[in-house]
Amino acid sequence: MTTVALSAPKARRRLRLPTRGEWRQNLTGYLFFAPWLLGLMLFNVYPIGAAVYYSFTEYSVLQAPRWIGLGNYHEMFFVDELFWKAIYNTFYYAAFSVPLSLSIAIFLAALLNYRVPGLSFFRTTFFLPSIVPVVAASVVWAWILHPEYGLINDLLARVGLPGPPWLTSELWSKPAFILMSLWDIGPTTIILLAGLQDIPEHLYEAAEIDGANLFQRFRHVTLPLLTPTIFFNLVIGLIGAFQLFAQVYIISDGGPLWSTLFYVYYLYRQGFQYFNMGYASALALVLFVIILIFTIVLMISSRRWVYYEGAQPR
Amino acid sequence: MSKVQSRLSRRAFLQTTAVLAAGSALAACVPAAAPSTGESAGSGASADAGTATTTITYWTFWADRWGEFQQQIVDDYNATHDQLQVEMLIVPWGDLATKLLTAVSAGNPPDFSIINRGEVVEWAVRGGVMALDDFIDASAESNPDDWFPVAWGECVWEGKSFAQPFESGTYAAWYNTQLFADAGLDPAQLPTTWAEVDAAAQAITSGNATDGYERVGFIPWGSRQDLLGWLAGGEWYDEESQAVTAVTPENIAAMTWVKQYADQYGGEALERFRQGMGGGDTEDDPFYRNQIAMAWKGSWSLSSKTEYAPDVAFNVLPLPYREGADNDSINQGSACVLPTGSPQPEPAYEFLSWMSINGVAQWVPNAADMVSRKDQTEIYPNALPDNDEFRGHWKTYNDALAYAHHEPSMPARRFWNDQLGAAVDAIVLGQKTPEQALQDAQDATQRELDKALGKA
Repeated sequence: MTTVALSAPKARRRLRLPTRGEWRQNLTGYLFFAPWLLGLMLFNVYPIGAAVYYSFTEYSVLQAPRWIGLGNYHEMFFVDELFWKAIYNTFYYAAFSVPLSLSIAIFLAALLNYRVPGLSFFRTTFFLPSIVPVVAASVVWAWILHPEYGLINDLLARVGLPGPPWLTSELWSKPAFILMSLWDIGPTTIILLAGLQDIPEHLYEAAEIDGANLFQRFRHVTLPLLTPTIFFNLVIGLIGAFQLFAQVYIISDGGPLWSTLFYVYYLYRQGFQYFNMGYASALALVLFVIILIFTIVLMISSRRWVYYEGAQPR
Repeated sequence: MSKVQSRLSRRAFLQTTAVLAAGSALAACVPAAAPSTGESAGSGASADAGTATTTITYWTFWADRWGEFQQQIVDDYNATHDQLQVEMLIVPWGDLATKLLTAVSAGNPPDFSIINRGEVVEWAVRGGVMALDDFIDASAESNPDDWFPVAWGECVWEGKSFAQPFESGTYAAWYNTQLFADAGLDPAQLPTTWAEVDAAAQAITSGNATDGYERVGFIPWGSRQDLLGWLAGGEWYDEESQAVTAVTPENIAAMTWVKQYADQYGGEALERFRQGMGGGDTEDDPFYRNQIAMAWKGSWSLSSKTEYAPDVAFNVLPLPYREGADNDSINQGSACVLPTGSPQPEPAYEFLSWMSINGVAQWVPNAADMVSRKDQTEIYPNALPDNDEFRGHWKTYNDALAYAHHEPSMPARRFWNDQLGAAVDAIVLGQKTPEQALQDAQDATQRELDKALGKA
């Protein structure tokens, strides 16, 4: 994937000290990005390095770290049942919430792409939930999911369906969080909408002349040209799903029966409530690797299904 | 310049962004910088030769109305003391421990802070708060014997005192006397034992597990779970041997009582009823809506009831216990500490001592909390009706200070609470037997405890 960028200058890539003039010229450039570089080192590279180091130690934050080698990783993979519980819960959540919110966002974006009266009103409406602070939204959702008086169970009761106990049940608590994740599809929808508006009108016209109906136009024009945006949202959405935290912290505290013990919430508990920052760092590193693997897999697979209009075919 | 120009395609941009986002996932999970050793940071060091007054910083976790009560106390102190001035900072309740943790490890803590009393030992074991013994020995005002042992004892680790108690709170049993009368029970003969609770619960409960409950007599879980063991005559922790003692006949009996309700009324149905009712001490508290007849509540609930449900007829008695056991309760509250690295420990202790004696005496009337000192039990909250009935209830809570437990004083306390909560969940939802649930919680906690004590 990176070969495109690298292949061009390859021919001239020989080691040579820059001349004085070039050096002066480059210096200006270095100075311009120095603040960014400093920030990156200080706030990204150093903390990541520190987390890697701490992950091999027993570290309560208050005491000096004590080197224990792979102890934390051994504990995680072979002893700690809650680690696997958290992995399971998080994968469960991500596996459902990401595709679900993405498909609904695509659907919404497609609707919002029609030029109907009051369009900006609808666009604003769908984006609005995203600017509600997550704490406030979580409190409201706890009420919407209320088993007796909640909005959802009330609606279900009106059509004669029994409402599930949602957050009080081991079985329904994760679906409740998946449902909740749909609240936040505004940004995804807007990005997809931007992608939709990038699709040239003439392609639709051509398809129409060829006799393609609405569904065929969507399937063979819209979707393929939207794949770069879908891919972007898929990766970002997956990363977001793996990092679910605030809602858990506010609504369920990991219960009932650890059924909403999601990964980052568990990490927080270990680090800040159980004083096991070394273990929490190891958890963070494992999460990083998990996300990295998923991202790489998605990127490799993207060659097969993502269509970049501007890119040259290889 | 043109040579270094990169070809940032849209594809490369999207890919790079995704990788960076993944990286920030890791960066976000990193703790604060390592402890900076040695010299204390110059945050509060305003004491130069020119000025005679010292200013100390104070972190509190009470906000809103309670934050104003705290500010009043501090203002009062500042108005009456020339040498020492206090600057208070409100750090929201859920954040204080985290912020203090990073501040202490960065060598930049406040001079003085209030933390949950149950956390004191967790901090002490790890060297996060200072031992106060030298200050206490030198102090004319602070004498450990003046506090209820249950409050002071929670601040002690290996013979040293690491905090002085601020306010207290205990638990007692509330009975909705109207619901008792409606069910044909005598509101003057309220339960004092678990067997009597069972009988009353059966008479009052209406509804069933399938269709849901309109009214429930009692649900043994959902209050503080550790009360159950103590009320059955059990102990959760042995300080001498530093052992978690969850699996004892008494504690198993307590959890069997939980199971009995789950079996009889349906664990999931009761759970649905309980959580369906909304938060405790709000308008939707089932007790305030005449939907549950018996509940175990903290002393702070009296002022909520006065506010939200003044007309609900009720009575307050000591918690009912299992036959053969005795009265019990829990005392929980907050405590005053000097974080390790406190820039000005001497003046900070002066204020600490004042807060835990005089400050709390001003706090209790406003905040409707309880005192922790033996000579202050006469102080009565402004928020409660000043009549015999409520003074009687208040006395019931105050009397509990003499016989209540505090949470297990051990470094894995928080871990233990989570484990016990999960154990009760598992029993209620029929996933584990009481023995198994307690055994699992005990094993996990003991491991964690040994680790924290450096034994593992």
